[in-house]
Amino acid sequence: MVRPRCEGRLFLVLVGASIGALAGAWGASSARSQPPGRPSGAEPAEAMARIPAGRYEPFYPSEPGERVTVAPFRLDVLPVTNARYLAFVRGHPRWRRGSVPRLFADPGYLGRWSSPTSLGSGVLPEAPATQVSWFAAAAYCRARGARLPTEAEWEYVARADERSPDGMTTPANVRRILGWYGSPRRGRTPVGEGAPNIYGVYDLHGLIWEWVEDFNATMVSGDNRQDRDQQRNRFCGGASIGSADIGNYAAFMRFAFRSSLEASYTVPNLGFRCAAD
Amino acid sequence: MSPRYTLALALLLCCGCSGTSTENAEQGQHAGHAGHAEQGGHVDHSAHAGHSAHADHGAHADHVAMDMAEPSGESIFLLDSEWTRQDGEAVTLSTVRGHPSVILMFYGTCEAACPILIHDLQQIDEALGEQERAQVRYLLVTFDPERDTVQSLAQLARGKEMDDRYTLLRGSEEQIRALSMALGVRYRRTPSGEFSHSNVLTLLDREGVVTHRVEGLNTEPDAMVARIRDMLTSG
Repeated sequence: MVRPRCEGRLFLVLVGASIGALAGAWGASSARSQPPGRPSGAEPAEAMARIPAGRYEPFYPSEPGERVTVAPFRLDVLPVTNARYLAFVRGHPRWRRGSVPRLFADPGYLGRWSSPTSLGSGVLPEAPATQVSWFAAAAYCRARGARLPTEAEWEYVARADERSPDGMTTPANVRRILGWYGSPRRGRTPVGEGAPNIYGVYDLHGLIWEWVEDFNATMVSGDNRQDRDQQRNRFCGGASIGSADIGNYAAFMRFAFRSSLEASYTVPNLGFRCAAD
Repeated sequence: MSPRYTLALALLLCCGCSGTSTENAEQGQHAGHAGHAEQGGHVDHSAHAGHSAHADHGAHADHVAMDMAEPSGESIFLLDSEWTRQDGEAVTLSTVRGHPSVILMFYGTCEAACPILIHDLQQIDEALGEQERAQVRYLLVTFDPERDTVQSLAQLARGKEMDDRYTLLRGSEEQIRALSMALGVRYRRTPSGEFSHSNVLTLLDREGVVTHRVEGLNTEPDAMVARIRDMLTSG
């Protein structure tokens, strides 16, 4: 893929924003109810999709036959962008690079930005905000009167493809997702460029990894080389080693990735989106 | 492991953590290794440079009108919201500031691991000398604010003969999740209402910075005791 130079990229962002604005206007004027269109950068409120209640078998059940129930909630249709995260740190100095306590973010926090309060030409405003820790992501969502999605909520919506709430285990989707994981785009392209899923939500696959509220809720041990006896005593009640849905490789990799994380970590292709009740 | 899972893990390693987080990736792996009780040298004491010497701490014995300097950048006390103590009082985590303290997360109706974990905590206390004991504090935070009420926490403390050096706390789910994140404690509520959780004892220094952690059950108190002694003798 040819990477456009800086001027070319700015042009594309402007074109994209214009198209986005036109699409948004078209969506608003349409008589049929539709999932929210891709918002333009000028809109103050983040577009959220309404996700209906549902039940599904969790990837790592803690008891046989466990079903996760998800109450209705709202989810950002897009990951939080650099532009929106920039506005957040401008308004909340405590969360600027250089000011944030080490407990809450590691030294890689917003490392690609040119300064604590500016992106610089190398960072796309409409690309997902990455190199943000769990604490930072949670603070951003809280400042908006929202929250991070739970793992159950995120995984529930991620099961959907364009046509179905439960399409992720079709062979075609499995191939597509493995293809993405094989050639990571590193999350530096604008959000919302792919097709939305059946709920109108974009970019749950193929763009970035995303924080969830309770990523430390899975009892999976990440290292097979550990002493077995010690491992048994590390988790009380942990019977969660066997996954239910071994065809869902994408979910397997997400759970493995989450189990390697700590809340202060910042990772170049790990971002987030917000949810609300 | 089947070839498919090997491939999946290989892909994960290729496209997962990268960039500036390699140091932290190692730290994350260390946290999982049995027997690697110590958090590998990650404490940043440069934040203490502007902090007055520990000679002040004698005046803090009753925590009245203490001049609260900004906590160190790695202090757990940065989680500064209010919890409810077993006597009903609202306190923040910095209620133990100025003392080496051991913190654990548990829940009251846990029948398997938590009693052992609490026993391990008390073994540490019993291994200390009388004067050492007087300076140490213990924080026990419940995963289960629904069932662990102020009354049941007080009852638990009485049943275990915990004196006022022990603070049992309940808070909101948001607070509990944030604290678990800061301490590296995993937990989830299971469908039956129980909690799956990791078993961790964490030693905080006088400024609330994590300096040692022990994972598992029936752990030996020696390492913790040695670290506490270091802290008490260094002032």
